[in-house]
Amino acid sequence: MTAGAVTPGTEATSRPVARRQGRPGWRPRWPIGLIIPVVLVAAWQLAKSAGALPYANVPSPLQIWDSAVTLTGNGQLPGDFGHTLAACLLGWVIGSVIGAAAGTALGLSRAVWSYSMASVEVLRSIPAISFIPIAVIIFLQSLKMEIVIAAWVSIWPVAVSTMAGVGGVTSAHRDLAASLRMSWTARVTKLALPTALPKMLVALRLGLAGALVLAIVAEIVGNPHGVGYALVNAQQQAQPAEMFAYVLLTGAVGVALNALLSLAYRRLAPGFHLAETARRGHGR
Amino acid sequence: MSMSAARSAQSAQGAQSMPAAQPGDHAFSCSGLFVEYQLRTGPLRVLEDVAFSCAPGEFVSILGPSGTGKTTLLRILAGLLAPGRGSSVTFEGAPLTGPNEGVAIVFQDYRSSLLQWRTVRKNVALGLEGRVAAAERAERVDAALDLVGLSDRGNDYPWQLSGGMQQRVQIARALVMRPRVLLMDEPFGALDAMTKGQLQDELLRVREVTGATVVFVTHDVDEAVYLSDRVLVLSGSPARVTTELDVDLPSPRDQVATKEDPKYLRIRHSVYETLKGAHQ
Repeated sequence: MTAGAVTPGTEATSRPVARRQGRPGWRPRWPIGLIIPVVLVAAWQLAKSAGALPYANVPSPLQIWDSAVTLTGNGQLPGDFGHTLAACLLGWVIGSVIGAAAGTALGLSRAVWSYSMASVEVLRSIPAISFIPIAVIIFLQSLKMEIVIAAWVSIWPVAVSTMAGVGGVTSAHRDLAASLRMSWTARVTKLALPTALPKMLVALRLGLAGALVLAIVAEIVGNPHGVGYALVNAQQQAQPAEMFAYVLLTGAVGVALNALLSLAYRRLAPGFHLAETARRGHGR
Repeated sequence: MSMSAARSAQSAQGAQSMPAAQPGDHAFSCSGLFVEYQLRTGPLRVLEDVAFSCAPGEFVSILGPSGTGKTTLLRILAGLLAPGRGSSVTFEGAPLTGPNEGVAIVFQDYRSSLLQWRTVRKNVALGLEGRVAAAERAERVDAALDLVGLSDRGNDYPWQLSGGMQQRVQIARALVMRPRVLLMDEPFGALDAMTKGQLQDELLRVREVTGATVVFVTHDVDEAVYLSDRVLVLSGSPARVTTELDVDLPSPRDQVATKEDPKYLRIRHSVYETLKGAHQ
């Protein structure tokens, strides 16, 4: 027996042992994670102030902060992030819906799979970035172009994982569906898609991260709007503090989007989330 | 099939929830039943010339060593597996062509059969969704959970329950359909002896209340004799029904008294003799 299995009555005495052995459920409280970034930023600021940084164009954290405050005050930064987020989220939603539908068809129909899988493999192997010049030719320098690119990059992970997921319906569940004489629609919505959901969540995260990247790249090389264009603009006007402000905020936005997605999963599909947690807890 | 067609078929059935079987009709009847699996090495015959019938309301056990084809036979009765061409299998007098309304199955492996992402209530409700209005559905789920003693666990998830409780959920999921026939595939095989005894008695009580026909597959001689009105011994390779034994023990049965009854011991003895004979 490991220390992880202590009874509640002995909890107080055995906790130190449990911690030393790394109890599976144990996590550091979140402020601990802030120590490293705070120390790094402080060191950066000190190095800059002391003139010890070899690169003149690297601003100090305080300069970045000032520039972020100014850009927020004049509305430029919220506007740019609004534009980029709109492109990223709209594209991601559209791409995910298409991906889920395509993946369901591929996973459930042998015929669809046979006819389409080769094309899917080719299309998803082409780096999405290389489609941006083509998208600009077709959709011109527009928000639509960004949305199309963000959607394109979201389709593939969702399609492939949905396909694998819906194909994973167990023979026990197929027997159950047959004996309850469930309709085809009920089998898809009540067995196949729930079976696929944990895999789909991983793909939705990948797709969301990809959509944000591609929206920004599309703005750098295609549509002169949003965060991507703001970066190019700041570079051309030699405003490094602005560039750092945009880049660091983009990271924060990525983290926030991921956290929102996890929260939505826990709230909207409690059964899955809890079942996975339990499986991880028991499956040692 | 459209949703509305399914619903009207269900309500028509709800109006006359008691068995519609005519006197003299069998719940199941089969003759000349055989099954062949196509293997790479050629056809493998699993069942051969199986013949038996079971009356409405009867509790019939299909007993045999593992690997004889008991589950295969049950899957045929469930309409999940087609028997060999030329076999005759009927359900309530009509040829069996697939899963039937009025037949519910309890599978051996409760863990893989329950939907782990649904609560107990929603697992039980699965077969009623899209067929029965929400209010009636809730009522029937309550009644089914009550019947298996899980009224207070409806909002838990299956993995939060013990094995015995999970199997009760499966039984409730079958009962909520108001089946005329319950097909059970070694439902208590994975449970400890105490839980097993408890669930056996609950099953007998449920059957008393519902009047359902039960076809019960097991490799446990004591279980078969204790529960059944009749025991069919399946043995040989390919397997056939080699023996039929009537179990004329008094009801209700009791884990202690019934199992001390000389009649019980005699029947148990002859079942063991049959199985021994089949192995030589």
